Amino acid sequence: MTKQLTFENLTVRLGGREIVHQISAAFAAGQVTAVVGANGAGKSTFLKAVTGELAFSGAAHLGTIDLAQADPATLAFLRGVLPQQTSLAFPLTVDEVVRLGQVVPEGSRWAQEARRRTALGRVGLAGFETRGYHDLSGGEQQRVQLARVLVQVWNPVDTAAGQPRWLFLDEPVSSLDVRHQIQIMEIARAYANAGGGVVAIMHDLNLTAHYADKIMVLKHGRMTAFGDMADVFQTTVLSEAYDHPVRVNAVPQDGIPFVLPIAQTLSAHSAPNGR
Amino acid sequence: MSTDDTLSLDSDGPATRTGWTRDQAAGAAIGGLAIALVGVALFSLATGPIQLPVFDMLLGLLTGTYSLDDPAAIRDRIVLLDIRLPRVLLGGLIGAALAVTGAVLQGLFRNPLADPGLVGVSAGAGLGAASFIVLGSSTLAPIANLLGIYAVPLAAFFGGLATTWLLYKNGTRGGITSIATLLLAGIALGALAGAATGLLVYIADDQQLRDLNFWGLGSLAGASWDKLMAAGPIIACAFVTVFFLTRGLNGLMLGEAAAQHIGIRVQRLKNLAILSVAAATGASVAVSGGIGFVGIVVPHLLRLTIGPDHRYLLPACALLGASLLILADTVSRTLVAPAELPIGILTAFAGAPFFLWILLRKKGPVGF
Repeated sequence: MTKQLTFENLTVRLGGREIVHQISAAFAAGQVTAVVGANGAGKSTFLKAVTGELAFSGAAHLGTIDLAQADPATLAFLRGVLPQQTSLAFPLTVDEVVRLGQVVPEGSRWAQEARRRTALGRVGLAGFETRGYHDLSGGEQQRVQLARVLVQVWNPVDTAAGQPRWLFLDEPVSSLDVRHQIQIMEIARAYANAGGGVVAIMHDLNLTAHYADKIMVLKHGRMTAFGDMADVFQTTVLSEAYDHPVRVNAVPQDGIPFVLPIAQTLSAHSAPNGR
Repeated sequence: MSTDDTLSLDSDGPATRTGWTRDQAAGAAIGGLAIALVGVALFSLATGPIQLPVFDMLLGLLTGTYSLDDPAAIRDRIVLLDIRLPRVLLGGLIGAALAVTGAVLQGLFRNPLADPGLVGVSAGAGLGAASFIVLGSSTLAPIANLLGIYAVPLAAFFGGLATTWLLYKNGTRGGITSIATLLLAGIALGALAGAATGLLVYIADDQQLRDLNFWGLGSLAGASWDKLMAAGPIIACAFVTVFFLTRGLNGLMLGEAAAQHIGIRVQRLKNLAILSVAAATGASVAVSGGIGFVGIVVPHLLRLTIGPDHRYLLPACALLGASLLILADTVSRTLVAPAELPIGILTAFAGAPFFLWILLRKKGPVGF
């Protein structure tokens, strides 16, 4: 129980409208859990409730910690959050941005500096420390932000208490090229393999198929499916989730599914009356 | 993961380690600014209608060997201790307060153009002062008589606090303060206070108009130990508070949500920052009137040179703001001696062109 992230009837209202309806589920540490769904399905709102940005009703617990009550410093020690977008108010260097992940310091000064350097190396930005953050491209900025999140929750398992730590990633690869998409997802995978928990909002279903253990599908704010990748990556489940026909297949050798969205013109051929 | 660590630890080439790091540069800058402040303060103490041998005098006073044998020595001592010293200290205090509150507000609003004018403190304080300048001898006479010479500064202080409180209530819903609402409401309240002040200007007589105008331009002419004792503790409390907020303000550079993610109590940060700024600005405006431009130029200049890290930015702002205002005040009281130029005219005259020069000198567009 202490190694889980659990929700009971989690509901979020924004501006008088219910955006997320009664989600109950348990995410396990040591796994990558992907949250998928169409635009406006409530994925980001759900994540914002879990990360303490939005008020919610129902219950959410990280291990034994009540997420609605916990103070920011306690939570910062246990989970890092990569937002979809981050705008920086003033011109910092890359190293200064990453250092913001260490506002609640952990370890010696030297260890902290070494972590920052390692983290930048891991996201493919070794040697970028003194560069101006604002001079970087969008994809590079997103990777700097990931490095900041990594140094915040450096060890996937808090060695003192044996408690797993969590990464919450809101579309971590949205502005990255193929190579860096893989690089970032490998980091997430390694974090989970080392005992940490990873929750990622994903749009790229094929990348998700490669790296996720569990999939949660949201549609109109409701959870329509949650389970192992093999169970959720089904033609019917995903077509229903996106209100658009997709075809799930598997790569012959290793059995990893791939998802093919069916083009409108193509599906028009197969439809009986041409529409 | 550990093998990974050792691998990439070595991947950082020596090319990235050129010269000083920004931390070291900032530390050196703060040291330099501290020395400069001492120099400027001594210069200001020595300069005026009577030139004082400040070094010898301070040495003599500190060691108890200052001789009071001749009348000139007694006069010098009075000039130094009762006229110039409180004025230099007050100038330094106000200059530091203006620059630091400017930097804190800019951090809070995540905008380099924010200044106390935006949270209504200045407009509210101005209205408070104006009501006593204009109505002090008529409608508000009972209160004005009771408070004596402190009526205008006190009215300014409480006018500023009241406006900020109103604004804060307006911008806060369900315990969460919206910075955007605060900004917009600040503009509205500023306009309202400005209109009310305008009404007072309309009914003011000629002498009151002149007083209003001079007050609005700011001056340290009335500096005394009393004023220093009144404003000093308030500003000092505000300083102590904001220096505990530096990490939080740094985190806020990422935005409110991300600041909370990295472990900062954002709402508490906002409460303390707004309260400190309101108190420090109210106290400064109360004793010196409206002195413009220090709160924007000093933080911006320092951000360009030592970077936006508030742990260094705030102390550096305090030192540079203090130096600049003491210097401006020295000029203002010597340029047209025995008369005095309002200091606000000088800070704007010197600050604005300098600011433009900085903007032009920068190659690219201004990266906020």
